[in-house]
Amino acid sequence: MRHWSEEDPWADDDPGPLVRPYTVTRGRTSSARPGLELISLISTVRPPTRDQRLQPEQNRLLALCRTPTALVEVAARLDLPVAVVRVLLDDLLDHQLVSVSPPSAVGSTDARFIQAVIDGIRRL
Amino acid sequence: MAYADSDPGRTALAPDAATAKILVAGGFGVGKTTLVGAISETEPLRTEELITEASVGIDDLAGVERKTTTTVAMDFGRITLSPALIVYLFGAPGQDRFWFMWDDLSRGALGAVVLADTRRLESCFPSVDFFEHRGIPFAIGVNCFDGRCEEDEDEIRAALDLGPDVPLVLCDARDRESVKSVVLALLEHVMRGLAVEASATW
Repeated sequence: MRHWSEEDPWADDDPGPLVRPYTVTRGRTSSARPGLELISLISTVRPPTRDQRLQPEQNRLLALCRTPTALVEVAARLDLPVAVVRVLLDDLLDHQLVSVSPPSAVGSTDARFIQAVIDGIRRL
Repeated sequence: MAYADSDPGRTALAPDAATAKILVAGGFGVGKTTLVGAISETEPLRTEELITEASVGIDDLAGVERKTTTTVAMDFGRITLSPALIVYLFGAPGQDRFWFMWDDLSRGALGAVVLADTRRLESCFPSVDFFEHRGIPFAIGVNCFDGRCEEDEDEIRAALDLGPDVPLVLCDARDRESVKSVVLALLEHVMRGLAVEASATW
């Protein structure tokens, strides 16, 4: 354990990119909520009420997801890591401001589904 | 023509639309993002994930000051096949030290296109190993710039030690029709796999 006087504990030679995104999440780095896959579609259900004090990033997310948007695309368009978006979504889901596409609709690998993808790509 | 900031093809999607994921793997600089861009309705989008040496399973920031952080880019594109069906293609780094990302990426993926460059075929070995070991169906796309390929298919197949059932398609990663043919070869391979599975259970 270094003594405080030996080195300023607040000094950081290489603060790196970690600080700001996780300030947005108030230090939380993971979301325990299941079913938030990279390709889960996020849809805004309703605008926040006046007493729901959201962060600017959450407001941007709500604006973006008026058109259903995959989690990974939300991350790309808000320029935030996926892990941060998962945490932001946790709060929005608690407030019932967004919905997430059902797990059965995400990454299905059954034959009928794959055939629909094949047919769709052939038509492109 | 598509611009990253506009919303081309953003038709009125159903909030419960089905989404599918196809992976694009291969060595550094082999043309993964080019391939994604050739078939995507948007310019390839990018997320930068922050990783640390001990980022796997980390759930708090304790001790984070001791770790070196780095960012890994993941490029992806979107194809809206219908208002109820969207396909995402993900290209991500094929280097060994990024494999933990592929665990997240490959969950629920239909399969993978491994893009190979005949000038350095060995750069796609780790990707082939990864998908073989995890039982994720894959197809090889051999990226032939200008439609010229010096080696023949059998030689490439032998060099990669591919099973006879793994599709191998010569392609041009810049060309939409060519990329479509690789993706279709993969999906048809996936379907054949399902048929074999089904007959095995009977």
